[in-house]
Amino acid sequence: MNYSHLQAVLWLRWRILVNRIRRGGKLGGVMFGVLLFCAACTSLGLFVLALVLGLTTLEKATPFGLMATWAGLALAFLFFWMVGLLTDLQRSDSMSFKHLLHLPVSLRWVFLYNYLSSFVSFSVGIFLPAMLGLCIAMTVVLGPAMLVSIPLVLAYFGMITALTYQLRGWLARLMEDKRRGRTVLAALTMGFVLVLQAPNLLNLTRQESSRAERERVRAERRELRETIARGGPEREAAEQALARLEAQERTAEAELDTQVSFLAAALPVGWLPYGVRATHERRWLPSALCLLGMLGISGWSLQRSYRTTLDFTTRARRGGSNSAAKPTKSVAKPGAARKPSMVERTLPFVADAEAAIAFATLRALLRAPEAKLLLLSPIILLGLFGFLLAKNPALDQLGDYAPAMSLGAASTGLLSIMQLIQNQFGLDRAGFRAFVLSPVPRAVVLRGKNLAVAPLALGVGLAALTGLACFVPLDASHFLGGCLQMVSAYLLFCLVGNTISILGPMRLKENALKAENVNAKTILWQLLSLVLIPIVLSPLLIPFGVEFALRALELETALPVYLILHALGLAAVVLLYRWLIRLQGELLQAREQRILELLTRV
Amino acid sequence: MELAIQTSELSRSFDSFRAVDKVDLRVERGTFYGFLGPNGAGKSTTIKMLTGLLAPSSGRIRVLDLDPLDHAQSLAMKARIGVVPEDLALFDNLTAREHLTFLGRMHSMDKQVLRKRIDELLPLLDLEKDEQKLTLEYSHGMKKKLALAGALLHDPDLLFLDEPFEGVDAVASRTIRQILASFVERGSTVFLTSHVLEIVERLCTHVGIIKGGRLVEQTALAELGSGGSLEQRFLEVVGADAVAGAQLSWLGEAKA
Repeated sequence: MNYSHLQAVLWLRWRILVNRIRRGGKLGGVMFGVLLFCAACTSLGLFVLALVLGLTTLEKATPFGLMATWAGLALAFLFFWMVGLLTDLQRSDSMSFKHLLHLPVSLRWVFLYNYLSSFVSFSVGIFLPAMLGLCIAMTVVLGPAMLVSIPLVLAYFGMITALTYQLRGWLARLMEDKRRGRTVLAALTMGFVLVLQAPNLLNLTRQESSRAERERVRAERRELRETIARGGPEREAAEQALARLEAQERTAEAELDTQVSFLAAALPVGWLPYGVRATHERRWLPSALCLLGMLGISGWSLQRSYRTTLDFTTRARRGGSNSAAKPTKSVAKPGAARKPSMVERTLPFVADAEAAIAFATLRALLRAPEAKLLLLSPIILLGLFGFLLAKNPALDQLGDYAPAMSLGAASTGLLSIMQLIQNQFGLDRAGFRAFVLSPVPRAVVLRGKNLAVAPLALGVGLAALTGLACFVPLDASHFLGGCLQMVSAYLLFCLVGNTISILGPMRLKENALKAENVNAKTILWQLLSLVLIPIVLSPLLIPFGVEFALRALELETALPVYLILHALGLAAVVLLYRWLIRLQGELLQAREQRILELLTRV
Repeated sequence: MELAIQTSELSRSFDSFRAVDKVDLRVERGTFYGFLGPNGAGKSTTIKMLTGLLAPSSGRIRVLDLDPLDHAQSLAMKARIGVVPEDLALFDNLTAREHLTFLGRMHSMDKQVLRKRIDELLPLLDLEKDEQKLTLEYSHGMKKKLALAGALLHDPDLLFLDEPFEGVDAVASRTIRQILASFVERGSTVFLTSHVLEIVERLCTHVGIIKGGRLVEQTALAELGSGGSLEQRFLEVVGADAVAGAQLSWLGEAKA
């Protein structure tokens, strides 16, 4: 790539950015400017904060403390970078190879440009300035030798980004097949979530025993010090015991130091903290080895990543990725009786078109990995919170307050459909055009769409409520009342979701739930929904409040007040739903062309 | 003379750009109407407005004597038309059969009839062997064929086809031409846009030519006049003669 190429590529990136901002409208442009300004301020602020903190605290830092600080920073960066990477996997390259293969441009440079572009990210913007601030503080406080930490930091960033860039190339190859690609993406994200939750669960299970151990040691030390302070014949024995205890602690600390240092030296992720410590102790060989090791991994990863990307792109150009050209695996046998699909099913008391919409939407949702992922999250949450709840001794003391928690259980189900219901048409993508072209009243479309997510919302909610009933005192009438409350909550939630879907639809990227080209108005509508939902759901706490007040006023009756009030509430909500859905249908018909324009850029 | 489509001063602007400018279309029932024009002339924008996919900025539309801008009438109109839009209207995560079943049910079709028609359409358009694939795995040509199957499924009175032959192989193209010819023979109407003038010449009974958003020609193909081919007339109308004579400055001299 010569200077002219570089100029052209930079100009292209700049024009794409400017055009995108222009398309977003004036308000969008202003919001982008504000965000950019905030990001710059945050980066600068973190640099200053790290510098000041370093200048004031580093003087007393032990080598182990210094290493632990850098290990924390390195791991935190790794975490945020990996989270960003999962989003990044769904994004195409900054400058696609496919658009440049036929041009006389060195692809090696384009690759390098793409790699460097990947540095423009939230995690680098946050951590790089902070780490550089700390490096400068170390140089001032611990001596000029600590300047070596700057190349160490840069090498660490290079190593992590290059390694993950290589992963991207590998994943791109795996994802050549669209169906498999979507599964890979879903499995990766889920695996990542589970791996991240594992330490949390481990911590929860170990918390009790380690806390008890710490308490025991603290109590023993306090007792020994009190004995020493009292004096007397036991003083000498107490002094010896205290010395033994402190020696044990020192030994434990030294052991921890050895273990952590060994791990840091052995694992590439630890080479930054280990290198900084070695520099601080003026051990130049380990420091240089850490630096060279990280640079070596960066170079090797980039080389491999370049080859994989080039191979992938040229193979795709030769037709390697055209899935339509491959023979189909699942061809029905001729003459074999065909099993009716889910889309053909009907429902009692439900109009045919409504059932068709519900089943087609549900079928599509269950096939879309991005939606599957969304649906799996509440199940993980249920497991995690269920575990926390089961371990919480305060549950037994809930008493009369227990029914109030049933709305929380219902909310778990609603959470699982939140993204689906608030952008119902976004997930249809080009398919929304079929609704616009259909002769079906739009209220039926909305009812069908709402019905599609009912099994998810009510299923997860019921599981949460049943789980809750195992741990808190909920009698049959309160459990049933909770079930009715859940249906009311679902219908009210659908009404809010329909409104937001109609007024603030978001175009979604292919195979992802990531919104594209979102304008300021849409963001405001989505934010408004966060305020609206608690307000709309709050009347569902009235039965609990009434029952509680009756008890407080000693006006208790044998009647199941909670259940009766929720039954009446549900009847009222059904009437409200039937009335409002007609109005929402009219609103949808009035806005469907605008929605289509936003979703598909007609 | 009954009209299938009639527009009056139909216009659509995108910010300051006027994509369609006071178009007065008259399409008789039972005709095969070819809507032609250079790229960006406003063909797809016009189809989108006629089918209710895009709201016009001004003007009036009547499709099958119904007003697509009126909410109640627009649904009645949509029940009687079939559309293959420019950007198609397929659900990514459904198979071909599921997609067609869904569309049939939206048109309140009888289950047995629907199943029978899908069983006929899929092999006819050579989609049967790929019916287990999700539509997102289809090639562009296969998507076009599936969209056409969806448009024909409920036996509409009027078909709107935006570039139906684009990306479709020769065999499927012949099948589609035969289907469309028999569709018109039984009294239904087709409104089609295509860049392939030979196809339009072979199939259409009437043509309309749009240029820069304005309808510059609307006539029966037989009355097109000038004695020449459709291509010749098309080039005359869109004013391509001046461009045809133009030369690139660096191609005029021999290569060194």
